[in-house]
Amino acid sequence: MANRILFETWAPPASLWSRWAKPVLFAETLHGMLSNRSLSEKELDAAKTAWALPNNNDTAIVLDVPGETAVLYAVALANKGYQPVALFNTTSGSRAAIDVSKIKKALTLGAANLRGMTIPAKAPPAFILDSERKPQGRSPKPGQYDNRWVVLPQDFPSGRFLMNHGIRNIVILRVGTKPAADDLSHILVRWQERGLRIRGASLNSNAAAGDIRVTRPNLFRLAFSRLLVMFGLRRNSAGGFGAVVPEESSGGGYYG
Amino acid sequence: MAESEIIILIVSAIIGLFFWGQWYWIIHRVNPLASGPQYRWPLQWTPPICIAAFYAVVQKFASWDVIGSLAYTTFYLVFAAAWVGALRPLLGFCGVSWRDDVLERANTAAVMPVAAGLFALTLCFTGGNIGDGPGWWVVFFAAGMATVALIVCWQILELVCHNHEIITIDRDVDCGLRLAGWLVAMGLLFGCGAAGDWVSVEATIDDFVPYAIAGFVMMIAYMILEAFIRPHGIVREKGEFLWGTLPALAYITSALIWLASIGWWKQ
Repeated sequence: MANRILFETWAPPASLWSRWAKPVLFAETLHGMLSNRSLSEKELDAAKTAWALPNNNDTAIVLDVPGETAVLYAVALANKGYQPVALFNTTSGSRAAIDVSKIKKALTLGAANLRGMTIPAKAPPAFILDSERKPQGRSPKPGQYDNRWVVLPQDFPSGRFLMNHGIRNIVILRVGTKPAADDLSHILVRWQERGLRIRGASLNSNAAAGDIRVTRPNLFRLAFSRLLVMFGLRRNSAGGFGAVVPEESSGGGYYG
Repeated sequence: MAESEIIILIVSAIIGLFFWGQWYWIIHRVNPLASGPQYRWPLQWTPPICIAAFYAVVQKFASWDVIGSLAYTTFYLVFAAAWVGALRPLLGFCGVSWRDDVLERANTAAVMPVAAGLFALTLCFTGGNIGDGPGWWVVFFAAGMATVALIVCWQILELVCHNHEIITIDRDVDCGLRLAGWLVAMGLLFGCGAAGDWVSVEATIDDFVPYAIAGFVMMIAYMILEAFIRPHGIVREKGEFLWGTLPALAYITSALIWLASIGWWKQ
């Protein structure tokens, strides 16, 4: 029950964008799930979001920065009238490839902040990702919990849906100015080709977001490209990603 | 039963248990916050409905030595469960996933294509069981031919129409319904193409050609119709009779009328 309450704090049923929120991480036991401890004003002030102004309800934001920082920025943006949409599609386990404990803590603290806010049902979305979701060159070893994950075009509203709901601009917050991750580029190119303006902002910078051009990734729009994007990752039977790497195997784990 | 049939029965039972065990385990396991019972029930009920339809047809139109034989009926039921179960991942290659789209993303538009995809695979296998023949390998060949035709047509359709984008990303329920209707129609055509008494490999292929042409025409018709009825800038998430159910019924009805006009299958 507490899991559902926490999830619905982040993904209120009345919000247009909640159907895209991922419940996987919320389904786990989160420490101090419904406590009143929240992210402090000091922490929220540290999240520089000047690039996100003004909120004319025509801009969606993608926070592709380290997970706990993304949560912090999402709460700061919620203060400015954006609806956070948590897309963490992973689970936790012992000896995990990605430590999600800080993300889980940030989600419980951030929930207390969100409970004190009134976000309009038609507020534009701020999609929350973890830029460390699939670290390059770090394959988990046998016995480790492989909870690396990716985002798919199916995890986001289509460009058509965004346009129909008044969204004309996408701002992607990233670390530095590095190009969008391969999985995310499949989504950004679709939006770009639908006529949405894609702009990039940098973490810890108040500089205005500048236009970026995303190039088409390999296997774009092929029916089976999703299977290839997920190849080598391990699914969790409860949903999302995450499973122990077997001792005698290093193969992939997808079965459709 | 011959020794080879007992081996096939055991292998089929293992394959069927693995794939359908995984199916029901995942349906049971995926967190209820991800999708409600309205998404799980169709997935839970489609396999039994497919098997029931297969049983009903086999009891009436299968080879003379299968009708009324408990052993052979069981053999082909287990074979059918293994066939559809093992080929189920092909739906994912065609762009619609029961697990990713229906269970984990609660995508209403994907429910019908998944159910129809399973039903179409069942129809292809059922067709291979219709008519007299010397054994299970005949069923394997005829049903295999029908199944390959179905998957090839579906892949071509995806390359041209990108239905998977409209269904899994736009979540357009009408497109899901249209694709579902088309899949059932193609399953009917190719299933009937695989049906009939066994004579030889060449005769089976010859008999299949008119049905393959009809399937090809149905595929082209889908592509043309899609160009006219696909929404431009409109997302229909609720589904409308005119744009979803009606075209779906039109595909199925066209296939049935054509099949009835030529006599369902060649004897």
